[in-house]
Amino acid sequence: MSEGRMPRVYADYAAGAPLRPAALRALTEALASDAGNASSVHREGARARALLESAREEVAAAIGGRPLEIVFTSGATEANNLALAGVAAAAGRPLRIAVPATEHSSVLRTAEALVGQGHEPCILPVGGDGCSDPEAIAGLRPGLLSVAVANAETGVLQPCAALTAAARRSGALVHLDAAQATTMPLDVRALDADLVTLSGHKLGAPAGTGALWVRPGTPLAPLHHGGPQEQGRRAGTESVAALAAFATALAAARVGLAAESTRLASLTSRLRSGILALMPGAGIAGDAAARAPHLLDVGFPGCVAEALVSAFDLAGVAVSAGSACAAGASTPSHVLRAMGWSAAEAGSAVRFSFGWASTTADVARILDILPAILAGAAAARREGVWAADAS
Amino acid sequence: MSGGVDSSVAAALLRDAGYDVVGVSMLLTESPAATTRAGQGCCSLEDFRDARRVADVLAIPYYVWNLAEPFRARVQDVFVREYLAGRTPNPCVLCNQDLKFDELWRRAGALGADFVATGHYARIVHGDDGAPRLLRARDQGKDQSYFLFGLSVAQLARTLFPLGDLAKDEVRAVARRLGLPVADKAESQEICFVPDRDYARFVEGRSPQAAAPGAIVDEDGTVVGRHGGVHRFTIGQRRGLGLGGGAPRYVTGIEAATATVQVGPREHLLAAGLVAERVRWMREPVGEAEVRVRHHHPPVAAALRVVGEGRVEARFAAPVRAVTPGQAAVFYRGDEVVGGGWIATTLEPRGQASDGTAAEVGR
Repeated sequence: MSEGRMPRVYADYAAGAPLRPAALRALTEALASDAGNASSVHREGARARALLESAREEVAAAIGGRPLEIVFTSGATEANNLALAGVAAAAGRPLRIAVPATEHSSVLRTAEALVGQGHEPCILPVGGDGCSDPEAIAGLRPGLLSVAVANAETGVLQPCAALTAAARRSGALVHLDAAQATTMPLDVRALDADLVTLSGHKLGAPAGTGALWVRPGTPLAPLHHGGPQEQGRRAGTESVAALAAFATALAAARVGLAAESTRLASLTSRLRSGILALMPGAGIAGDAAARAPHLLDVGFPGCVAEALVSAFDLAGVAVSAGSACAAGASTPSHVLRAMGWSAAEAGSAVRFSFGWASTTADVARILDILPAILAGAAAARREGVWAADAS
Repeated sequence: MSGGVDSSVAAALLRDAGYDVVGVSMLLTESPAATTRAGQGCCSLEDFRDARRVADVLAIPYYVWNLAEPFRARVQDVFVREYLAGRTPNPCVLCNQDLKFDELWRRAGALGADFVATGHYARIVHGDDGAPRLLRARDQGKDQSYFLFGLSVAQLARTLFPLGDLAKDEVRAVARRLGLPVADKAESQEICFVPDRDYARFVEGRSPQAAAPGAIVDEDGTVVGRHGGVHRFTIGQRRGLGLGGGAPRYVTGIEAATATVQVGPREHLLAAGLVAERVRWMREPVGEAEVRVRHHHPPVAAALRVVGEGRVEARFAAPVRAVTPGQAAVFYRGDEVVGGGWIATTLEPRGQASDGTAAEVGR
């Protein structure tokens, strides 16, 4: 069970990427800069404000927006909450909110919670490819559509342009969750959206950073009350150093993006081929769909993801499965269930995700240890263990 | 690792002995409570956090594995069925033999583990033939061997009990010395999934038809009261009978088929022996042993006789009070657990006076 002296392989960028060196430099420089509170009048405050506004410009530039359209948040979950609850609160009428069944829990749970304020969530089904049908939106006439550009578990790219166009026909506002769209170009003007969520830690920034881009004129009420920070849309003193690191990480991620996407696609493609060679029955989630290049979600027939994730970790490889419950155990993926996978199939899926520091050696190492892990899983199956949870 | 001091110290001792230790907590319910009240139950988010923090201090890998489904099927459902059948179940024994040392043990084996260790107070020694033997803990007051009689020799061979030679205060001292954050944590005494001890409500929650009313009768068969379901009673129970004043009466028998609860005076709680079913032997069957009929019960000498497939009659040297069907009867020779089974019926001492043979009565 020992992992010996081999360095660990980190293949869980979708959960949180390692800090980029440039982001670390920006973070430590900002922390050491004698900056005060960015809302203060004095020079120390002005120094903080300068760092903050510089970060705001950098983030805006990276996504084709303007600085005052950026609302910094504690992360994508808060940005998603602000988008849905903020639009709903500002609407002044009951809103029908359309969300695909495969959305992140920060969207699904927020939509559910808005029922209490008289709003009406409508869960859009997805096909086996993980995509929702724009036709399904036409009849719904939603007031708000919220869609993830790239799915957090499978990497499936929703047909955002068609979904957005369909929602627009009923005059809906459109929110796009781009938290996981870390390895593809993002231009908020071209997307025709009203709100776009960004995450810092998926990019190699510190966790606790994110942003909501808001198209000018979009009615949006704040989630909580206090000071006038973030154009009055997000009260609370900004974490300037972390946001400076976020902006730096986002900018770094945009440099040579096309080449980086190609490189990551070759890593996941290599992993996909290697896995299918070892286990031809393995199921690649959304294999038929366009997907973000850095993610590969694989169902291992007859296996239980919890066992595989533990075995990978003991063998020195960090991967994940479904989402973690409060106690820390894995729970089967609602995303795969929505795509028509059985509970056992969804409970057999492991997500591999790569990023800026991933290498072909990482993929080779995963494929090296995989036969032993699958043999262990086969032994467990013969023993009849790990079985009850998959039923 | 439950997040308690015992399993934490067990992990620490093994790590310090050079073992490659992996910490695992069992998730036994899909939605654990946030906190545990001191001394009541376990398995709250607080307990998982404690286990994780101990693993951090020990620098060992730590995982939470979801065993909620097998726990429900093999422990909780049996617990409910036993109460509905008029018996008083012992879920801790079931959890050990069917979950920790079966499902969890085999999962660990599939991941490459050579042993499963727990914080139980019991000892495993190896005889001249190399076979493992289960012994009581050195600390007799903490001994938990009663809960472990269901383990097979094969399971024992791949099991470690690092606390078997330690007293509780020594275990706490180790925890303090290593700076484990659970060194002074209170112990859980209750059945972990019924921390408020309201077993009847748990049974009714799982099985609403449980609350079938019936009669309370005295030993002549006279109806002396009514009750709201046999699952609310255990042998020897005095409170909650609702019989009003007079001489104290105790539950002496429970018959699920007729929903009848029998009561009688305290002396009628005495049993001359018992018949155990589903008996497992760790050694060759023996004719004499000391028998424990519940945890913390002082062992009583008994003559054992195999009376059927997996059935053993144990006749006590002296009568024992409140022998309770559904509990385990564990057979000891000195410190060693040689076998055990589940109490099916008790042997009636009063029959002895009339015809010299004990009558077997259903309880």
